[in-house]
Amino acid sequence: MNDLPSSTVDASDESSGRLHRRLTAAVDGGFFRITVALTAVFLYVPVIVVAYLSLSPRSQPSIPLDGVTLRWYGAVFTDARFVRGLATSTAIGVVTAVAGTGLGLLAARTIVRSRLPRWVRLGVALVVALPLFVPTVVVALGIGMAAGRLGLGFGLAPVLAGHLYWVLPFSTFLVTSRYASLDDGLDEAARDLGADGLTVFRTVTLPLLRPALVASVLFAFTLSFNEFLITFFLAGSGVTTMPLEIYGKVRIGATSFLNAASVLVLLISGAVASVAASLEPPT
Amino acid sequence: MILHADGLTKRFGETVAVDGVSLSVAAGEFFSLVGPSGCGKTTTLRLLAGLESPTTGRIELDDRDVTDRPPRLRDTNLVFQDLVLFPHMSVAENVGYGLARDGVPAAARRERVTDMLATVGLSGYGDRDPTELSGGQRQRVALARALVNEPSILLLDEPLSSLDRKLRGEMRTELRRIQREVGTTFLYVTHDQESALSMSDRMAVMREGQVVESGPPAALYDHPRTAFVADFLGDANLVSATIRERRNGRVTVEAGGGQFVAAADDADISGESTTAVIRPENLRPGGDTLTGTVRHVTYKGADEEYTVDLDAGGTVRVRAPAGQNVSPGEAVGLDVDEASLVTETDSSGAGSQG
Amino acid sequence: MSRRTDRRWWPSTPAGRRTLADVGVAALPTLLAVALGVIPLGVLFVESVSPPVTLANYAALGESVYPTIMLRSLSIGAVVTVVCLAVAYPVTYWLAHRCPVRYRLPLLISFTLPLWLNYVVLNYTWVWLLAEDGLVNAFLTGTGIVGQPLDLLRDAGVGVGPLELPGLSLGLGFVHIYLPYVLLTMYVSMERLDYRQVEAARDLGAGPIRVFRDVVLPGTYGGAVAGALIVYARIAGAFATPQILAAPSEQMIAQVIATQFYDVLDYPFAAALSVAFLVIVVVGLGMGAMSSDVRAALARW
Ligand SMILES: Nc1ncnc2c1ncn2[C@@H]1O[C@H](COP(=O)(O)OP(=O)(O)O)[C@@H](O)[C@H]1O
Ligand SMILES: [Mg+2]
Repeated sequence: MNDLPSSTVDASDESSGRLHRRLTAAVDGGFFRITVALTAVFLYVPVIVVAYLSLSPRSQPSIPLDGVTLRWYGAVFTDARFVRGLATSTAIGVVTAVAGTGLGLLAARTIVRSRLPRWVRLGVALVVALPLFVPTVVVALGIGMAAGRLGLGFGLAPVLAGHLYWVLPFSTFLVTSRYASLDDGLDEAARDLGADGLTVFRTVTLPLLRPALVASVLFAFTLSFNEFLITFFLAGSGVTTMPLEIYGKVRIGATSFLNAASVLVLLISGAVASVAASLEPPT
Repeated sequence: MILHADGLTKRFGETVAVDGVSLSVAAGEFFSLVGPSGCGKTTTLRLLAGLESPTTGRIELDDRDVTDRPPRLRDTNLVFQDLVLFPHMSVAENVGYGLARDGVPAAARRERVTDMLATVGLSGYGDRDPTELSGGQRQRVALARALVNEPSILLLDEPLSSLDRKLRGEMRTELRRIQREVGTTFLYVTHDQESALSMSDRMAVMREGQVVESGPPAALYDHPRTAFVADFLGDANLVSATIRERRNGRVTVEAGGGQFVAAADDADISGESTTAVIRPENLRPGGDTLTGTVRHVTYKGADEEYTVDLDAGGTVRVRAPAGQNVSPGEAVGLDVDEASLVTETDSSGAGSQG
Repeated sequence: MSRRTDRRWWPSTPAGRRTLADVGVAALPTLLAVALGVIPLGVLFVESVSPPVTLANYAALGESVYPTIMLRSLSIGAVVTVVCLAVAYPVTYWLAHRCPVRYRLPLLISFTLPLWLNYVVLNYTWVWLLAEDGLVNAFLTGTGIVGQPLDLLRDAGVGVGPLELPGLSLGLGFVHIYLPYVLLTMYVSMERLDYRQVEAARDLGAGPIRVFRDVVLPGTYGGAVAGALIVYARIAGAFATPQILAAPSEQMIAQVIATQFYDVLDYPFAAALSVAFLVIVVVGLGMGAMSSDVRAALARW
């Protein structure tokens, strides 16, 4: 049957052909669009609900709201622990974003351009990629246990190191894909015109990598800003970050205060994401 | 001699990309390096530019040994085969890049860039992005970028290969004009023998990593010493010949069923049999030296080309002005206007005499 | 390249200097990755066979609730991954091939935006949908569909043979945070599928199911497995999501590990748990990553 030209099929079996076509059209028009729409609803309705409930005048919102207020946002900004968590998360995020992107650049250069033997470059790529394939609990427990056993202790420095390690594969591979797409000849053209290694890097490589570097800074910031598990294992008692604060409160119970704090966290990373989206198409 | 390369060899693992190449280029010369693709032309240029280091051999530039110097410490610039303009810089920034590396102050740099853009016919294009230019214009930017800091020798790697046929013709003339104007020595690499013949003061023909022959274009074209060069530089009929008589630089041979005179240095010829090289345009219909039957006729614009089966065996191609009313199947007689003799077998890998 | 003339420790040839520079460039990120990746895994392993050298910690894994918890984690990982793929297939197919071009980028961005959001917060948002006084129950009781609020939040999972399906709230929470990863990976792969193949199959009389089986699936299989590899271990090893959305009696492996580390302070046992989990997951991932299709898709990612 499939070997026959389609016109023959239509002629001998016209009604079923038409039915088939109509079915296909319906599937095209309906099924896919509905799935796409439901997926969008599924992803965003919970967020919208929480944003809506964060406006409740009561500390335990009821549905529907019996009034609208921004007081919980005010409360979040006057809550010492939350403000400290927010400040810590932002600071760690900025440092991690910049330093992580720098390290990612070094790793990417090693993977893509270095003259070291192939097995060395593959090895670097592999150890850098490790946290992508090892379950995060295992990574976190490992680092936590190593910090404990090797006497490094817990607190800000270990958290920072943990975050750097966590963002390294992302920044490395963001930069790597752009680096790999640069024409080798550009380096050579610059060298031929009299540039030494550092000058080539400064005047040719770096400007051409800029979009990837910016994307990496932004993505690394949100990764760090939102990171929970590694911080959980490394923070000890002295350090608190925004995700840790929220997690602690969630375990106690859902409140309007928490809703407002959640919306703030979403807004911050959403804002960074939209900057990234406006810079260049994703992927 | 501004450039002198001696016994350059470059191996990539098992591959010998360049195999004992020696070259000398005089100041102000337009020197071409031709050969089929894959014969090692690009690698030779990259060795000269310092982008690769030779496995063995020596490079002298302005009488100084530069073999181990990095590109920035040698006075050569390369026009890359695929141009590689910097995509994040304007035309003027591209052209000024080498000057900036040489520490030329910004004001002087601007002036020289402007002058150079004028020389290559791109006045007023300085602020454009390279991506906004046509192929021919990008070509000129690449040329300007490599010329502006006045290298001792400019290396050009098939710079016209990315252009279409018509533009290529124009750019050929342009290249010569610019070379005369700036007076820089050009070492020009191409697989297109026609460009090389028409532009060069001298040229070298490469094959499988080695220089087979070198000399002025006319000498190589008219009196190739190897069958390879004869064939590579233009259509050639290669006919095995027996030597009948030698007299001061002219040798009478018997080939293809007839006797004719071939130009060859007497002393170069040893033995009795050799190969005669006859260009298709040097076979004239209407003669009687060689006889044969026309197999088919190809129209080539102003010319016609016949394939002729010789009565004595073998086939030759003949090129003559169109309109001779020769048709397939007809018998035809041919005179030999000019012929030369192969004096070296190719496998011996002739060196160059610079 | 034996032009070395002196015996200084630093190389004097250009190639040697370049190698030294390359080593310098590689050193910093590699040191970080080794110090926080390789060494901790070594510490975990050493810890898991101590004190002095014993397999007792591993033997203890077979006892009590641990096999159940391990199996639960793995099967929840599998179920959620499959659900994500089942959603991602039609969505990315439509997005890559049927969606009007001007909506494509905005839609793609909105489907991948949650990647940038905090998953603790995203999980928390479900509390307000599913709680007794949450949106769903408010709707159901308000319209009179049910009399009593349903027990939707932190509901118990369902056993199916040896497998264990996650409860509703846990499943939704997982899909919510991991679907965007699968969507992104699948989209990249789906975009590379030549739509003319689909048209050719249609032209030859294939119905939707045949088109999917004969053209779409073979063309995007690599992307699907890559997506699965990326999310599976994270789901099976999740900590915060089950803490927030699972029935307290139905723990997953990461919760047990954290408890052993934080509360029980049994480092060796926590280490043994995580090494065993790591081995199981890595063996699974390794088998998936064997296929060259999958490697290609991962490389693109
Ligand atoms: N970097 C390299 N590694 C290995 N082989 C190479 C490399 N560069 C060139 N070759 C080989 O050397 C030979 C000459 O190449 P090339 O110099 O590019 O020739 P041409 O420019 O005449 O076409 C070819 O066989 C090519 O494959
Ligand atoms: Mg070449």
